Amino acid sequence: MKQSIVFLLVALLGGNLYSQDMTPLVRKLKAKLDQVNDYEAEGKMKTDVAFIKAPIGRVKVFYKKPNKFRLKKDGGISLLPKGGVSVNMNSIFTISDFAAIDAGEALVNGTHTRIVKILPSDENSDIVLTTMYIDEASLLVRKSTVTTRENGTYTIEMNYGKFAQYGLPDKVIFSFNTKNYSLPKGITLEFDDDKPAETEKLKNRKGRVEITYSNYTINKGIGDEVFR
Amino acid sequence: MCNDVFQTRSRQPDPRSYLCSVIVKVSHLSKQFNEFRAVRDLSFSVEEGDVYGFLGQNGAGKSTTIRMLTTLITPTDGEIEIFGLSLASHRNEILRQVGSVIEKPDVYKYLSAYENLALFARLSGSGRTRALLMEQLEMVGLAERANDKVKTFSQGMKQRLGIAIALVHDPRLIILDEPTNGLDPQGIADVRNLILHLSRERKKTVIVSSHLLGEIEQVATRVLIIDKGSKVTEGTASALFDPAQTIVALQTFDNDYAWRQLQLSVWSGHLQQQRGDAILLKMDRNAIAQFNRDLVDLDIQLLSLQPRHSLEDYFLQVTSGNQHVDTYTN
Amino acid sequence: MWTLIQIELFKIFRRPRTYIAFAAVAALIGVIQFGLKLDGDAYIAFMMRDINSSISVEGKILNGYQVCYIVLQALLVHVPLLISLVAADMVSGEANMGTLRLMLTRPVGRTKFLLAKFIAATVYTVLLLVWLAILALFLNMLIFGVDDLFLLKSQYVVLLRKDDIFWRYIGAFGFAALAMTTVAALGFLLSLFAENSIGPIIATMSVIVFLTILSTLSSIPLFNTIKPYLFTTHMISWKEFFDIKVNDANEAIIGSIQNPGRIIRSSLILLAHIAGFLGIGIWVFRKKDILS
Repeated sequence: MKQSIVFLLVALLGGNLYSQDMTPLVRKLKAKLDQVNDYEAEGKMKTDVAFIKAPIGRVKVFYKKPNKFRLKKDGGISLLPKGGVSVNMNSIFTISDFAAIDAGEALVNGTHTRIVKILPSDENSDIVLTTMYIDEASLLVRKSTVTTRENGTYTIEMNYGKFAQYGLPDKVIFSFNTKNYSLPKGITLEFDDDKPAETEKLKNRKGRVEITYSNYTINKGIGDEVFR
Repeated sequence: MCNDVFQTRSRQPDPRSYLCSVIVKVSHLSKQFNEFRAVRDLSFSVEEGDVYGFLGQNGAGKSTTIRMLTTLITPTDGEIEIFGLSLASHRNEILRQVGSVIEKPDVYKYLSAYENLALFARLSGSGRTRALLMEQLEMVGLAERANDKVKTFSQGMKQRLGIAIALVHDPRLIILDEPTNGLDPQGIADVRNLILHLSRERKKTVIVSSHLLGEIEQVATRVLIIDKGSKVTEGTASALFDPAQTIVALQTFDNDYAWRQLQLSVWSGHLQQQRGDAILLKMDRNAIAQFNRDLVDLDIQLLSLQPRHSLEDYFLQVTSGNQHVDTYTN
Repeated sequence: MWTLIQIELFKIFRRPRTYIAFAAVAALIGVIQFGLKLDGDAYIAFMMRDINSSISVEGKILNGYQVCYIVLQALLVHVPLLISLVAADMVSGEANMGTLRLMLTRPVGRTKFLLAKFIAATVYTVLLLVWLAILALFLNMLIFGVDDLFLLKSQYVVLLRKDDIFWRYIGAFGFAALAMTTVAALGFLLSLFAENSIGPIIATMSVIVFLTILSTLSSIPLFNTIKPYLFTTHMISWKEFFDIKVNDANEAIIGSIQNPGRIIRSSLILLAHIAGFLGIGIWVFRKKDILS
């Protein structure tokens, strides 16, 4: 009997705990991010994708509400792995109708965070589930895992600095599963064989894109032509 | 012994310093192309100042021999000495003193006459000024066309240019292989005069080959007749071309026996060679009657006795062994 | 020797035939430039169709460096044919013209004669590549501008920063010169065996085409085994200059080459072929009876 009371208590408490609506927290967070109407940022992008060999490049990132986002290389050519990489938190909040569920707590890089699962109400939304690791004290998203219908699951980790008050990170690490890439040798006109080990290495790696921002220009207005 | 003369003069082989009168000495020269024997055991020598006529029908081995003299072909056997030096071991020293036109006078058609001449002058290591080169072209009558491309030249003009190239480095020995091939009568006469000029005025030694006796007859001081790669006869032109000297073709029931008998007789010095079904002898026309009588004494059973009247006949006969020979009945 | 080389160069560059190759290179590059200038976007779209699902590429892909790469990829297969036009004619052409016997009765050793001719053929080859570089690299840099170079490989894509490209082209052209000299040496060797130029030219082209096909048939195990021994396999190692090394963080190291060893090995193999072809050539030619 005593055991069943304890079980019930745990179940009630637990149930209460896990089903706790986190919508207010998320709304608060959204409001913070909503201060930013647009921004232009400069940064360095590092692409760590097994099948891409590229040097660190300087990039410019443009954002405009509600969901316009553009990453441009500062001159030169930029490579981004396909897969809904927007490298931007703000666009996740374009979904207005969602359920936010508390999923416990976790430490992200030494910071105490609350795990919030966000389920869009719209069945046709590309995003199926977003898991956010929210630093409640400073009201910042430290980490986020997004599962999409079309582009698989990806993780965004964020470090904050000078622009934390706007919820804009200094560094974003975007991790995702890479798709296989290969072209017939007939097209690339290569005769040489790659070593099998090398090929193996290429297949097994996860992709990462890392952007370190050096400067943000916030709410100065950006024309739509930038996003075209 | 010529080598001795050379060696006492200098340790460094310099063909110019070589004073021996024998310019070319060919000993037991042979050339085998697979199954075909182009030249067999050929020996002859050319002396300084000679115009040495090299006579034979097409395919007799003249060209092969001349190509061996100019290092285009490596002999299978035998030795060639030029200016007393072995051609095999002193090729470049020797060729510096040799000018040649081998068969057709082919030059670079896309270059002008002057450019061709200048090119070969440099190649021969003789630093010739423009004036000297023009003088050379003047000598062969091409000065006015010096800057025209050779492809616009007639065969005769090319031949003259070829000769100018052969002479550009003032060689001591000049080798001309069939120089009148493809020329018109005027061209032939020009070449003939040029050879005589080179020999008489400029004291050059000339080796000239031809399949036409008439040409050789008019220029040569010495003549070598070659057939099927072998020497037929060699001698001074005056002796070979002497109208009093007649070649007699003798046919008997047993040529070998006749040859042996004649060798033992007073006629041994007149014997030339045994060829086909005939024995050839050279003798004064007036001696033929006595020779005929002696054949009876030597117990040689005569089938026919045929005197040839000129070198032309002789040449034709000796170089066409299987040809039918008209019988001469005494 | 210097005189001999000068004479050979003089002969090469006084012949109209020599300029066919220069004109052909200019014409081919001109056509490619014209086409890409006019319809380059369509070409890039075609080039990217297989990778568009994996990577999104932004920027000026079609720039001078890219066009040069396209030209090299297309032309370095055909330049050997132009090289053989002159190299395979070096001796056979003279035999055909009859000038060979005139040359060889001059006081010049046959080895020297042949070396001078080969050096002249090599100079021609190098000049043709310099011409190619002027048109394909410098002219395209002017026409299309310079930017980063994006390249597709069979296992990965490479992005080279624009300030890390020019030296790679210098290296690639240098290597191509070596590869083309190998072709010249082969043509040169074959030209010793004929008295007309058509035979050796066609023979050289045939050998190159045949071996190149063998080199590409790597899916057949037998051919895969002999592939490393074919010089045609090594002729395209110029591409190695355009593959960059990455560090542990998968970040491209500026100024690096993925497989410098491959370039060195291929260079040595090509050099060995050149020496071999030339050596056999000299050995044959010294003994050869000139009957032309």
